[in-house]
Amino acid sequence: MDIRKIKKLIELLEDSQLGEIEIRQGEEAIRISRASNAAPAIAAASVAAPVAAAADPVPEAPEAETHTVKSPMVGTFFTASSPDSPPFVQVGSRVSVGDTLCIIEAMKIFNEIEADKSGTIRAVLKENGQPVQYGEPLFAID
Amino acid sequence: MPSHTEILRLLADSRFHSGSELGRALGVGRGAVHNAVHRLIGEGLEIFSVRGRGYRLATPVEVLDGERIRAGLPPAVVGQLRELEVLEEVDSTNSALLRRGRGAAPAACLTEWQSAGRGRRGRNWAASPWRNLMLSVSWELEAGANQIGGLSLAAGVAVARVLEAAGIRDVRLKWPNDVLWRQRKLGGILVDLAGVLGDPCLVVVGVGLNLALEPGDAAEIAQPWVDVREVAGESALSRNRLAAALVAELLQSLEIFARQGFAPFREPWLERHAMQGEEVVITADGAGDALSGTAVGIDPVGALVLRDATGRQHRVLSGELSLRRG
Repeated sequence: MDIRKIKKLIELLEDSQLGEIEIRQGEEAIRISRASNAAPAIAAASVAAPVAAAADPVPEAPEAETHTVKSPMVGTFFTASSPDSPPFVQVGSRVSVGDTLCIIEAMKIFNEIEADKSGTIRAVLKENGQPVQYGEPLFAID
Repeated sequence: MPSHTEILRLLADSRFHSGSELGRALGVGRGAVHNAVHRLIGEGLEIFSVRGRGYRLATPVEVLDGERIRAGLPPAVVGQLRELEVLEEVDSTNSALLRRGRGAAPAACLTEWQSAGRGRRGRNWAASPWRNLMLSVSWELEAGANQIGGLSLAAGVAVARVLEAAGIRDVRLKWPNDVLWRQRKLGGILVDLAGVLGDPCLVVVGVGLNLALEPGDAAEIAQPWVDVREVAGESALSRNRLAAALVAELLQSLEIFARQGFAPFREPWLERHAMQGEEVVITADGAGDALSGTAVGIDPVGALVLRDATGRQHRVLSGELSLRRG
């Protein structure tokens, strides 16, 4: 995997609302994710050296204090309490600590995820009905 | 204006009570009694009103009574329960306990009437007040929300055990959380969770059990149903006794789950699996395609295991399960 490809991936991530991109190609694997704070972090399995180099063109701390709300469980992500209801929040919504942001459901266990920081929703990192993993970023708030 | 429960307590024996007798007992005039009775009729209770004799309930009602429920709990459960509340009306017993928070757990909340009872994702839970059971218990789980897998299935085992102890046979569980009797729904379970990553979380397990549905409810339920009255007869119908047994069994199960997780409940669940070996379809709640295959069991955290036509196994965490038709 060459440096241009990695740079492309970083641009792709920055242009999207995704929290993380992971690519596998034969023996190589690379995962690029937005970190919970400041600059995007880059992690890779078998291609450590080029990745470190790739980090250079990334601008320092683009957004001031972005806070990520992460999933406390494995399940399905829902933006609203029912298919007919409006979403709890959207990009641009102002939230206070304790406001419901989404529901994660698994095996009919419903977890209303609350904001643990006040601010403005900058990104909704999952789509309605998508599966989520433990610790996966769901929202960016600043 | 007397409350529903106040007037029901007087009418509970299903004998005639005159308007003036009821009025004296409640400290109101006959007009207020008339209005209160008609509000009860409006809520779906069958009450005969006969000129010169008064009012009579078509069948007796056993009103929920916190003291009687408490008296029916084993001492160990009474010792750990912080609150037991019987409400005439509430939006939903799960919401009530979520509002009470972690500090109040373990707690139990029961109600005669849910104005916003929830079934699966936004669907209303329909049940006539004073005839069925709607209750919730709460627990603080130190392990956090990531350790919660299988809890709704463990709760199903607890409900099945209570029904079996009341003499009901053939209770089966439909993944993940329905209680069935011969493929008809006898009850449902809904688990709510509050907690952020890395913290202990508050778990609320809500149970709705059909004891004696009124004909009017049947129209609102979109699937085959059955009630305890039909399965076991009136003798099994002491609401307070069943409520106490459910609260006790659910709390004891939560305590075991908090220590050992789903493992001790897996075999008991599989013994009651309503669709083991059947051809089934899972339809996603949100986006995504339906998945069909044979239901071959559940995994160690309670996920449904499906084997598709190519022999590949799938772990299913979410979605609506139904038997494949045709």
